[in-house]
Amino acid sequence: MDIRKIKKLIELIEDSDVEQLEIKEGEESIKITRRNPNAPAVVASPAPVIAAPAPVAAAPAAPASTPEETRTALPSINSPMVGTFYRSPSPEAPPFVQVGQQVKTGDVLCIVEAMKMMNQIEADRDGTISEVLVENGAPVEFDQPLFSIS
Amino acid sequence: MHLSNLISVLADGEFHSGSELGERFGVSRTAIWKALEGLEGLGLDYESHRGKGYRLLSPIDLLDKSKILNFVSDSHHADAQIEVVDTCASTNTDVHSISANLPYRVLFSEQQSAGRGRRGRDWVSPFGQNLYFSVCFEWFKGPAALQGLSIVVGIALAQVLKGLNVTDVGLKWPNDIWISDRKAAGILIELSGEATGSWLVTIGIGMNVNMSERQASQIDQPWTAIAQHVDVERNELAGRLLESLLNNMSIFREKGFEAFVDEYGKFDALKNRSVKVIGPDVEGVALGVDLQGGLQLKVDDGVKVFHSGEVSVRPI
Repeated sequence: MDIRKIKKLIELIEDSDVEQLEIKEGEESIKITRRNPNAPAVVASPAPVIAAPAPVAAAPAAPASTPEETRTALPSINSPMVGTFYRSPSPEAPPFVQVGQQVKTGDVLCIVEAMKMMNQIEADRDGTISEVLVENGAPVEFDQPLFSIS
Repeated sequence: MHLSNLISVLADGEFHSGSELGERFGVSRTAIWKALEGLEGLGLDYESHRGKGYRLLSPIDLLDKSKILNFVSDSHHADAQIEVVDTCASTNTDVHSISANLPYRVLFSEQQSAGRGRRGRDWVSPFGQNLYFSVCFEWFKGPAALQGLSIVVGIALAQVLKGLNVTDVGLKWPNDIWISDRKAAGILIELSGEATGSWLVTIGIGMNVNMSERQASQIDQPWTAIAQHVDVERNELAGRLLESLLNNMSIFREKGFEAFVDEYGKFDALKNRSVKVIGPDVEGVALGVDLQGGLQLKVDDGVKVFHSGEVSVRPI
């Protein structure tokens, strides 16, 4: 997993009330647990390259949790910059993606424009678009979630 | 016989007879006549005259890489793979097919069949009259660190025109090149990449040089062309623009947008004017840019900063 991604995840945790975050991407997985509100600790899963073949091997970290708590938020695609969100290449064209559509890594999902810089945002994983979180033409902030992908 | 070969003979603007052209290319006069029909498709005006032959209504100085390079410093040339083609769909797309292991890839085209501007709008791109080129490079610091690049590119173009003694050169935020409030050039920057990887940055530039009224009939806003203001060869202009752009890129990589705030002020065509940001539809008085290149607008309850959107100037 990319070190910058991990850094970003830590920042996300720092800005939130989340106690613990676990993400699995194929063979890689990472678990970040907050020790106290001021010092989040990173616990990379032991030797991710030789991850156990059975995905169930990674036992849920939070025991005895209610069903609501185990429901983790879907991963999202976030805006890399401040700008305006566009779902299509031009006003007349159909959107790049629709809810329910399957996407592959590298597929263009939307454009974020800032100062005539058209930023094509690509999917960073394979999955299905489960929600479009911003309205076409709306302003977006840095790191604001744009799509959730399952 | 390629149409571009025929054009290179006609480029001098003199009459050439059908039989002369036929002999030169080893084809019949009818074949020449048919080939000439293709000129209209390229947006080139020509006339035929009995007994004299054919000529272009205005001569063309075709783009020539060696002439362009006369105005590019050795150090920048060493960093860039530069190519010149007759036609392509859009230089912003086709520049990616240049393969080179150099920091910059640059494509000039005499014409674009699908030239485009912001949000899929057309960019009128007749053959041999104007400049259309793209500069492409990889970027590893993430798109947030590119804030302001649009303006840096606009400044590069404005500096060249000012250096050629064009008067009243301005930038309409973020980067339309205006000469006395009429658009002479536009810039479209496209970025692609994933949040965590490297980014491909493509800067596309279209500058009206010899655009005629007829060719410009599809343009839907006040426009102008460089030839109406200064006599300069396209190759020289192309070379100077590229040199200026690569210069500014070096400064931008080292110091970021902050190094350009003062320079922007010299070209700010909106300063102290009443404008409207289309989209959020906010009206106010333009106060220049902040350290990230955002447009500062004085509104009723203070100052607002905008990072995207189109600006229109309220008529006085």
